[in-house]
Amino acid sequence: MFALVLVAVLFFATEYFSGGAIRAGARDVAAVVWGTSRSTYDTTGASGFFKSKVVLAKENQALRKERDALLTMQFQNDVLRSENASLRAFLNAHEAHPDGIVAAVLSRPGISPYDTFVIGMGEGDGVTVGDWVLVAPGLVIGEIKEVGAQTALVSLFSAPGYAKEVLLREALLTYTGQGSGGGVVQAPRDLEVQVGDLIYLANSGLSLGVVGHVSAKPEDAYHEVLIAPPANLPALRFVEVVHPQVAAVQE
Amino acid sequence: MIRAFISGVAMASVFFAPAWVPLLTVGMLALRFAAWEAVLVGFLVDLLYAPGGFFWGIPMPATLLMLVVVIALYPWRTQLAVSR
Repeated sequence: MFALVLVAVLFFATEYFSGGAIRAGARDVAAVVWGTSRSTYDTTGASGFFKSKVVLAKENQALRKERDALLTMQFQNDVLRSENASLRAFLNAHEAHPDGIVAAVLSRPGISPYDTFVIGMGEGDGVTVGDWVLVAPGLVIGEIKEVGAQTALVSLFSAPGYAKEVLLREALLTYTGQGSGGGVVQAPRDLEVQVGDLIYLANSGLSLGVVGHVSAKPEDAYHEVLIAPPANLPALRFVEVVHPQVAAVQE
Repeated sequence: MIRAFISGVAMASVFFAPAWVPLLTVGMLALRFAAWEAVLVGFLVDLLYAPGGFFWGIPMPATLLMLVVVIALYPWRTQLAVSR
């Protein structure tokens, strides 16, 4: 046990001084695992592999009548259609940011205890540390923290410790990440805030999230405004990576 | 056999499951065995997800947490006579 811990400490010390090259390499290797599992999930999901026995039996009877080649084409078609729908949603985003990079989400947000996730674009694709990550035009969720050859690590703005200047109903406030995709804003009690209000990053015009709950106690001088992410993070399949200045100028 | 299975689940859950799953499986492992592989699970979490290997200024937080879990559950292993 002691030897293992010693090896881990030495490893991280080496990592620290090498600038994260080993971590980036590990993520590139893990990208193969995530990519394979994603395509397997898509294929089995499209084929109805996990449906109930009754449904499967009926489908099997029907499918046996079809030729194997036609069946394979149907599966492929379903997978492509699903991907196409996600990419179409990003078409508008790409038109808004012609220099933006559309990247596949490899590890689902929500798996990492640090509010981070891995995307399938890296240094070779033009991704750089500090770039912003958008889920739709005008909706930003995080920034690039580390870049590997083929992958990059995204840190959500909801990660604990993140603090950003935001605009809520034209009041300049401070947003603090709380983890698990959410954040909190302390708003003066005379500021009328309603569930569903958008908050915007100061000087950018990009929305960071939406007001999910307002906690107001009579004795408090401030409302505690809980901020929900602007998208269903676990269901994310693609994101767009944009340089902060480009995103701010074009919004 | 059980140890290998739970270790496998813990390792796989680092890639595919929410963070509480590796923690739960590691807790189960550490309650039954002197589970050095728990540290490996934490190490993998840090390697893949920790920005810069740090979180809130703490180096290798998941590795340290798993180490604490293994050490903290040692008395329970002996107390509950499930140690092997």
